[in-house]
Amino acid sequence: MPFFRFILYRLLQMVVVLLGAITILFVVLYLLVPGDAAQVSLGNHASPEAVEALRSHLGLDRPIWEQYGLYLWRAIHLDFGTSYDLNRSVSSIIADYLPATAYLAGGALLLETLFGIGWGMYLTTNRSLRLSSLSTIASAILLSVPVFFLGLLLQYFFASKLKLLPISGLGGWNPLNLVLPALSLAAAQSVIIAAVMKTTLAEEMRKPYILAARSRGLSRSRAMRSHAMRNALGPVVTILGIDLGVLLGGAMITEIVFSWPGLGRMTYYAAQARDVPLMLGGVIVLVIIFIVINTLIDIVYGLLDPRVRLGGGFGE
Amino acid sequence: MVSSQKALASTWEPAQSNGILRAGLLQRLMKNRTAIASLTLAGFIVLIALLVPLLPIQDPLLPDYDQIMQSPSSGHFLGTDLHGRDQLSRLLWASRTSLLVGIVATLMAVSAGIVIGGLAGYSGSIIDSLLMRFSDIFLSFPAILGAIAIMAILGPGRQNIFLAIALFTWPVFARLFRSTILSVKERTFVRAARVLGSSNMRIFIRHVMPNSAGPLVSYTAMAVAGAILAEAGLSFINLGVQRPNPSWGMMLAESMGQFEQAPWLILAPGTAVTLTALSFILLGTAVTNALDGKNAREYQ
Amino acid sequence: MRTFSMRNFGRSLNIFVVFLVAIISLITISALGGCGDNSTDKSAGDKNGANLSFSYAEASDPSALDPALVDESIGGNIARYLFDGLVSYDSSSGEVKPAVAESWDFNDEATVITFHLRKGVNFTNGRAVNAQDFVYAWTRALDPATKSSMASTILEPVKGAGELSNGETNKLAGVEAVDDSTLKVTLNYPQAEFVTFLGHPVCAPVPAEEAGRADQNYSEKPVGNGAFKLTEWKKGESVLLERNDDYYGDKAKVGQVTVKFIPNPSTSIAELKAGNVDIVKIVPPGQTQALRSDSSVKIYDGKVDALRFAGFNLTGAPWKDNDKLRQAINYAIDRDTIAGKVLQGQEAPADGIVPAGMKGHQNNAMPYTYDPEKAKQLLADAGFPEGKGLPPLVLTYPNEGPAADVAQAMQAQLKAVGIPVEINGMEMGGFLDEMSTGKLSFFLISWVADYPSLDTFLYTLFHSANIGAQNVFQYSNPDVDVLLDKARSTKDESKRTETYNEAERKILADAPLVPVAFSVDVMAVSPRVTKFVDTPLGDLALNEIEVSDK
Repeated sequence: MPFFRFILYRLLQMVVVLLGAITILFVVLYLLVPGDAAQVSLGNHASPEAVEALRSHLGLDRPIWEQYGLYLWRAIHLDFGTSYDLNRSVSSIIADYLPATAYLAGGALLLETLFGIGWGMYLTTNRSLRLSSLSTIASAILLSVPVFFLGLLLQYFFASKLKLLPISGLGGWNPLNLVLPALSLAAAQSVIIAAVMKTTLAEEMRKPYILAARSRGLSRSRAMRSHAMRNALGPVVTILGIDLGVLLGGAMITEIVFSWPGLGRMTYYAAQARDVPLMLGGVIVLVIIFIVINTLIDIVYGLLDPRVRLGGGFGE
Repeated sequence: MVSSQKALASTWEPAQSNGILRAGLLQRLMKNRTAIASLTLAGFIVLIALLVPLLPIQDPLLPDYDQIMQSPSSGHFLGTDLHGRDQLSRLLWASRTSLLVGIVATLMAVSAGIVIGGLAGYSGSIIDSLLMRFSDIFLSFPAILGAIAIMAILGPGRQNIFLAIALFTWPVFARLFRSTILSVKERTFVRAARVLGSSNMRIFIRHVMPNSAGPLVSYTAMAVAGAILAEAGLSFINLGVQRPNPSWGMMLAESMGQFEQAPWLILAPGTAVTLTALSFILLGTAVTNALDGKNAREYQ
Repeated sequence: MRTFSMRNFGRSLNIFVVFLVAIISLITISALGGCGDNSTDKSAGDKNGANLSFSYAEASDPSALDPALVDESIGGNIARYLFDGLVSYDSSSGEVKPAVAESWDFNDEATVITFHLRKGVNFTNGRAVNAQDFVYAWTRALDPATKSSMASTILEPVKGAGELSNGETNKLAGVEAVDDSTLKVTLNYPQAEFVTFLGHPVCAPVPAEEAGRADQNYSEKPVGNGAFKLTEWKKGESVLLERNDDYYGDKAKVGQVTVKFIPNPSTSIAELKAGNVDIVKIVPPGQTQALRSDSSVKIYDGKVDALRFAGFNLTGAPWKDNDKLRQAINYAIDRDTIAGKVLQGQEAPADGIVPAGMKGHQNNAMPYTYDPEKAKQLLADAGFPEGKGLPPLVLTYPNEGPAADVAQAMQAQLKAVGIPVEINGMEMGGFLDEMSTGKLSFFLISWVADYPSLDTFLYTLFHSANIGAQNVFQYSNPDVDVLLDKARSTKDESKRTETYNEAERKILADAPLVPVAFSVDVMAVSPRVTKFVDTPLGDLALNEIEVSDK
């Protein structure tokens, strides 16, 4: 059954990439970060015996491949060890911060979907040269503005000056607090959605079935909305899936600007505090989410469009 | 000349399916005007960066504690900072940091991409899939997250920024070279060349490189823009260039508290990053469009 | 043709209208949702202020709220109002005053202290605090498994503390609960000032039945006996405190306190102006100037309680055995410019190690003034004429507050006398790790008093017994050790102060550090706050805050 083979194949590929990512992170972090984990964790008052005891408990006295195996085994059970800095299990800390990141990514995804699809459709319907040049410039600018600059501008105008929206923080999950960070995060991505939307829609519109429909007297926009849209959404959904991963991982700077208690900001502070287990846990969780979402999107897309399944081999 | 142009256009097609340039598709409608404008802008910024040492401006690192926190004046067009350093001078010098990081990090990524992509494309089979999975792993990191992790470990400094950014950019180039090689490999003239005894290196230089040139230019321009934005972001969160060297991201972070009193201290570096990234993004899309003739028809 | 394109325009307009309506309705819905939240805390306060709430902004989450683990000022401020120890400090003078201990007496040698505990002090779980809770808390804090970084420094004089923290025993020999309300503490050596240390959260009573619970982390849900109890700790966002109405002492004037964690100082100022925060605890220089002329905010210059200094690692080149080089650097630093210009007058130029606000501070303890010529001379005497032959030097600083600006100014001043220095910023956590493990050669940091005594600056930082801990200079001078030990065991206050002062001058002559400035926490305060007290330890006295009910 080629279909099951395709799914199996994608899942296998996902596992390989996941293992690879964890391996690289483990090697880089545990081997390159200066400082003995046991010493750092116990502080400088600890007696050499206590440090030695912790070293053996953590498995630091074992050969590196054993340590790696142990880490991997624990990571599979979502046990990323204990944070040096906060003295709590890394998974419980991640559980504290993940919801805010997911909420922000969800908000941004909603905005970019609405805006991207709306913009793409508008451009396809209104094919004036001037409009499209304008749109090109506008999208290039949105792609070029650093997210922190955009965030600061939005914060200044909408929160400090006009006082329309809250300045920062989660505000007890108040959706108003979500608007500005989600907007800064969604800006660049919505340009990409709009671009994909416009291109695929324009391609669909040139296809024979649309021409046939239009020759039966269907208006261009009607044909677009009732026929071409459905087929054009496929690639958009794929991009949205990839974006969700990008949004989850890339929200770090936005979270910093807006004092958002998310996983990205948490990982940033962990990285700066040299809290290796916490940082590693944070990055791995974000990477896992990213990879799993992409695989799922791929599989779903393969279900919808058999052509992808055929092409879905190693390489491309 | 003409034939190589054709070859460029034909390799460009498959490369477009690689996510990063999807954005470029929208900009197919770009006219040459934009290409000229973006080239002028990029050229102007590069020129400033090159000429900064010759300009009659103050030392960007020299503090003057009798002149701190001055508003803009004829002596200091953008005022001075907490150390009495001229902000305009720091803004202009920061363009060197920004462009240097953009260009060096991208060059590193391109070189790594050529080696790894080339190896994968030529050897095929098991080595190919291994190398491609390896590049998948790097693509699976949200790039900014990876760069921050690397910078937090290595500490601030230019060399480290080059590395942190290049590490997450090379897979794009590896894939580009690999797919070009795969498409070129099967062409008749390459087969003929091989039969005639051309070495792999020769084939690479004569056939693969010219065929990659178009997308390479456009990918490179995009990657430079990406690296410039990444450096600004890293410096914004204290993980970029080392003080007291100026960087746009750092200047912006340092002045964040003074938006109301001194908005120019936020707007100037912010606009500088945006314009620099913009010029390279527009350049990239302009090249894409120049290579892609058929789109012009769409809007006639 | 015309109608066709008009219709097209209409269609696309539709899409935008739908999009716009979606956004507007999203905002409206959320605005309505938000109103519900606001209505509760806007209601008028009753007489004792139970409905009044107060909030202040800090830069980050505390590292812990478990009293044994509190090791920095943000957690310290909160923990001091969640827990009451044997003693506490007067919020304005910093004098020791009775808290859970009603009174205490010493034996003649000042080696045994007997504390008589107050009746009617309860933990917020309802149980009465007894002497055993202190035995448990101190033993727990010193147990290496607890990983407290402050316990062994503060409880060091207690008999058996060293053996317990080394893991040699699991009992603390020097502490005994004679009965429920009598606690006997035996010290290793006469230590008259020990009682002063006991207001630190690490010495606070801990209920074993709460700290030992397996189902929740005590640091997340600490149960104490203080003026407030913890309601919720939203990580990365805020800590919510609720007044403890069962508190034995003077009850707080506000019902709720919210500590908001806002890393970016300009955001916290914006939140203050928007009315979402009542006090911003630390305002960086560069922002204060503009705020002083802003009528919607009051700027308060806090008490001097910290020393900002650059330290040398004396075990490594080029600092090792090179007094002249270290002195040269001391003469090269223009403290007036750093304090007055770079720090905008927000800090005072240092004239010694002990900050000017501490009781017992001596004026001009330090022989070094700004004298670039003398610096150049000493540099040449040290064997590096005009800086020739110096190895590459790096001054490392934490990315917090104005440290980066101070480092840049020092870099420029050192360059002017021929000492090239690179500067390198690190995040606080990593910085502290590397500094305390001796990996940094030249480092810029501030030291804040842990308890109101000269001891917290002199013994803690410079006694050779603290090498590997807070003695980050690896400084060892037997004469200084003798003086510091003598000071600790001197009962008479003025003699004790004299001895500490002498030790301070001796340390400064050796120049293991460059005292730079005495810091002041500058706060931005909303007009809504009618009374607040900044304690000598740099805390906001949460139980004395008063706000108007607007």
